[in-house]
Amino acid sequence: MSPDLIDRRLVVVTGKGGVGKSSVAAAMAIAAAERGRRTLVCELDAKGDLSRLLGVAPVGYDGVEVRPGLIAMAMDTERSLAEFLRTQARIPFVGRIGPLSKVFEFVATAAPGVKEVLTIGKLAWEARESGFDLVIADAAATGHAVGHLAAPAAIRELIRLGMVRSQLDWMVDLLEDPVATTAVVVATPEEMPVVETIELVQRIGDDAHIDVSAVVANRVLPQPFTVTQRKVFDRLASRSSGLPSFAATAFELRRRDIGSQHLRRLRSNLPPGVPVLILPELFDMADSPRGVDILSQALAAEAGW
Amino acid sequence: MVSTADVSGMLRDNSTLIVAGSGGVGKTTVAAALGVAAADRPGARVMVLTVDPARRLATALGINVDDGEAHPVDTDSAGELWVEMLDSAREWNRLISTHAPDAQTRDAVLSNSLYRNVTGRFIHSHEYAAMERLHELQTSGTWDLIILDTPPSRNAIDLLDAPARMRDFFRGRLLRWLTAPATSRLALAASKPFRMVADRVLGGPFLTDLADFFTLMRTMERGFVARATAVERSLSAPSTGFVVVTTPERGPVSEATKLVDELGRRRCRVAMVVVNRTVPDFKTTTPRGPIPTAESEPDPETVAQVEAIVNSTHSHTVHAKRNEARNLAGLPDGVPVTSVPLLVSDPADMAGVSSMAQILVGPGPAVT
Repeated sequence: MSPDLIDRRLVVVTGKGGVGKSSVAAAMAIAAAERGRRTLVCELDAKGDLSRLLGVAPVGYDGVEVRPGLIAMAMDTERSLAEFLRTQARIPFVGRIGPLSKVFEFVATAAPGVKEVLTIGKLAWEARESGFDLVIADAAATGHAVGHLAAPAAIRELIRLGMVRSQLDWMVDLLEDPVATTAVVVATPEEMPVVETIELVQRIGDDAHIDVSAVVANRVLPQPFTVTQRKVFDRLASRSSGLPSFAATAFELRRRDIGSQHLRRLRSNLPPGVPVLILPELFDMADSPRGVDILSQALAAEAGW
Repeated sequence: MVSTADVSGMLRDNSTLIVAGSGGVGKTTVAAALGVAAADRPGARVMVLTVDPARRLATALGINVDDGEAHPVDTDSAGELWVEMLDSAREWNRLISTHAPDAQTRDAVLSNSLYRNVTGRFIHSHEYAAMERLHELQTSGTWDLIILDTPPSRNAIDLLDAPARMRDFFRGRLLRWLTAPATSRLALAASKPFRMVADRVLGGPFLTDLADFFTLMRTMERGFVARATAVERSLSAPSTGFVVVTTPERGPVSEATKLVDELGRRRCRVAMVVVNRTVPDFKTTTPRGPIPTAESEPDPETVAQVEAIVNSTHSHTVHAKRNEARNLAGLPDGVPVTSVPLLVSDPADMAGVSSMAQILVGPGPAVT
């Protein structure tokens, strides 16, 4: 039996673009910090969504405490490299290697796994070495995510000696240990996100050998009516179908019914033991700090934290 | 929002359309729908090239292949619609085979462990492969219109930068240094710090592997650089247009705006912005029907509850519509914009894609 999600060391939140990964990562981080876990949440692409959703000015590579016990940061692979060279490789003259960024660009182009390793390496290092109980990564979209997660193992096949080799060894051990590391895939109750989620859950396990502990179904439309109310609605609608208010409601109900079918399909196609946690559609509030607080409570209730 | 853009004209006047936008806005579906619309002309030959590793387009069009070959799509349109899923690894192998000076070099690269581990596994290699394949299709002379569905990347700029990145890689001093004979490398005092770092961090054997690989790659420098330049030029060709896809939400709209600006700076032409999944207009359509009298009237309290929920749902959509208008006002001026309203379910099959194509093209000119 694997530990609860918020009792791991590293949680990678991923999913198809546009499903609300950043909102879910932020909500999870808030819930974890409120439950006493010293938490680091890190945005991997530098869009700045995470800071906005947490209601703070854009955070950088140096983390900022945004709430008690919750530190937010944004990934910067070049800074990660400089930090690695200084602290791990103990190379004291990083400043004198010349324009580090040029070297970095070259290496990153030549061996495209390097950026991925620097990203996941920073997260793994924070999860293992620093004082955090939990590190949450607001990861890249589907295609990139598996690349990120599989990068240390892939690069390890190429590098047989040297300092990086030993770094990669412990990194892979941490990532592939389900007690320490897990992935959470975010989906919405629509056709394509559901299809991709089923596929992604499979690939994270098969290609990256990483545990997937939950799927979060975000933006699930609530059932607005009780059974009795629904009957009354159907009757009223049959004579009021021309009214915009009834047309709008009927549209939402149809979307909800179709969404429920997709959710059923999602549930029945996930490996046993991967629960689907339901978060509500918050419409235009979803994209705000207030929405994230609501999601945080809903997530904690769903997960039983 | 009323369509202000002439989609049919765009499909007629461009020979390449590159569909770009942030993740999750429906790029692939829009690319497919544009393909279906464009193929609806007698004799038209339309190719949709998708780079999406998640196979969405194939599912949407009812084909289930990702073999890097073109496949005809079964439509009832007047012309032909073909679809191809990019196979990055295969594209890279093709590139190496084209540019290698001899069979020995080709085989050495193709069997190099660095090469085999790197291609296809990481995102940037998809981007260059996509650009390369696009260029191949463009020069084949087979297609009236090629629609490229771009890979999900943080922004489409990575894609546009791919050819230049490839050229810079081959022309960079570091590559020259790394592939220089070991003796002359030692002689370069300036490189000493880098070498020390590299040795310590990456280990000697890996550096040797890298050097071997790069030495092989350098034999192909001329071919790659010339090709990258040609690919780059085709992006700003007059017959190439960009279609920027967004949803009406704030984040995607600001990403789309940045993309339009960036494309302008690169002298790439934005043919259209497609706003996908706008809030539908719920207009009064039919007069209120007669009140049935045969049945017993429902409990007035429940009716009141239902009406309250209906009204609040409606005010949600009205509010969302207002928000949407505010977000869309942020789009750059002077670019044609068209919109596709949110559908009950996102198009996921041929019928859905075809109805989106209908919405995009519109009812056509009114006959008076």
